[in-house]
Amino acid sequence: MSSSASSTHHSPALKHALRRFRAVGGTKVLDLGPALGRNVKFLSPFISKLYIADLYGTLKSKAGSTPLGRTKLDRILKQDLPPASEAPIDLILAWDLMNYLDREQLTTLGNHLAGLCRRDSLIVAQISTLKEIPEIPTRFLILDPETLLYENDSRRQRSAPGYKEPDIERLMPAFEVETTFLLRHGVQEYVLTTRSLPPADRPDGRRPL
Amino acid sequence: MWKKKENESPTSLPATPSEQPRTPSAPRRADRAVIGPTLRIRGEVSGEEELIVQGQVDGKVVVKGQGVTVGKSGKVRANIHARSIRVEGEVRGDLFGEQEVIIEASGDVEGNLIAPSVRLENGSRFKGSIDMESAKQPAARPMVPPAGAPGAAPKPPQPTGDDSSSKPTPPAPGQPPLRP
Repeated sequence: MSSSASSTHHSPALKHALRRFRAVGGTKVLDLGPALGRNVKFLSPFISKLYIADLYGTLKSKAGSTPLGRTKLDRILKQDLPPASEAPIDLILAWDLMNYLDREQLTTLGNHLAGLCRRDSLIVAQISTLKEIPEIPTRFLILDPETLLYENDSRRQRSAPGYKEPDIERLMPAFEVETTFLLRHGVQEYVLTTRSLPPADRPDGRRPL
Repeated sequence: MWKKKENESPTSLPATPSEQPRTPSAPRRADRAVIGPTLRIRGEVSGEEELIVQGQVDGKVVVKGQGVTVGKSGKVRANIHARSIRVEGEVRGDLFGEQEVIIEASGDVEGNLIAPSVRLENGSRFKGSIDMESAKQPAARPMVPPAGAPGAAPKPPQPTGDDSSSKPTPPAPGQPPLRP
């Protein structure tokens, strides 16, 4: 991911996810990123409800200089994510948030999101395969159903966790990778869906942590 | 913040003896009320004239058939019911707009927006839910989702784009939902 202020990239994962929901309408969408007017405008014709959690902003403001522990993160997620009574959510836009969570935090987030999903719910995520990422998360503006404008003003970099598909499925055991796309600029896009078989029943016998 | 919208309807508004029948085509300057920056109101503010809040309101705001603007210095901790709502300041509460809700670049809202039209300007801060459907008339929503839609049998992904490689992993159909 470039540290330049903005750049445009193809997003096959978004296209894949939107193809499923766009024609239907009445979709419930949870955006874990900040509120962006352009995205609200784009999504509004086919959503019934849009939840904006702005976890980027919350985690940044509440983390301070020390990493967020599980208890504190639990509290934040309970407050900032929709309650279970608002479930099921059809589509979750996680953007690059996972790049900024450690393994324990990723599991905590996955557990909370699982409680909001049903079968066929999707999560769209952008995970960097590069060694370094911008110090702060990127804002993703939906230009059209398959194109995103990446905006990031940070000139500083930090090391990337470099999660790979097995990491994600192990750390978020309620989800599995439905499809994934490696993009030229070093971002691996994922479409996750709720796991159709309990891990214990999977042929590979993989179990959650 | 995420609670479902309240079912209450705006309370009836007090009639003013001096109030005369008004025609919408001839608005008067007196039809605009301003809560100044040094004013703080606790309780319900209700009326039938355009309202500009530059001060602080804790409680509830109900303006029938007119607009409410929360100015840059305005701080509202209340649900707001109005024809249209524009936020330039800070709101902690749910906004019920009969026509529209607009959060300007300087606006900061935590709550739920219920209106047929919602606009967030660049730079605005918002956390909560946006519900544009229940504010409209019953929308035509397909009873039976088309193929590829939620509830229909999932199709294997069709990766596109020359800058990507893909690994489709179609989910097994017929499994129960994680949560009922």
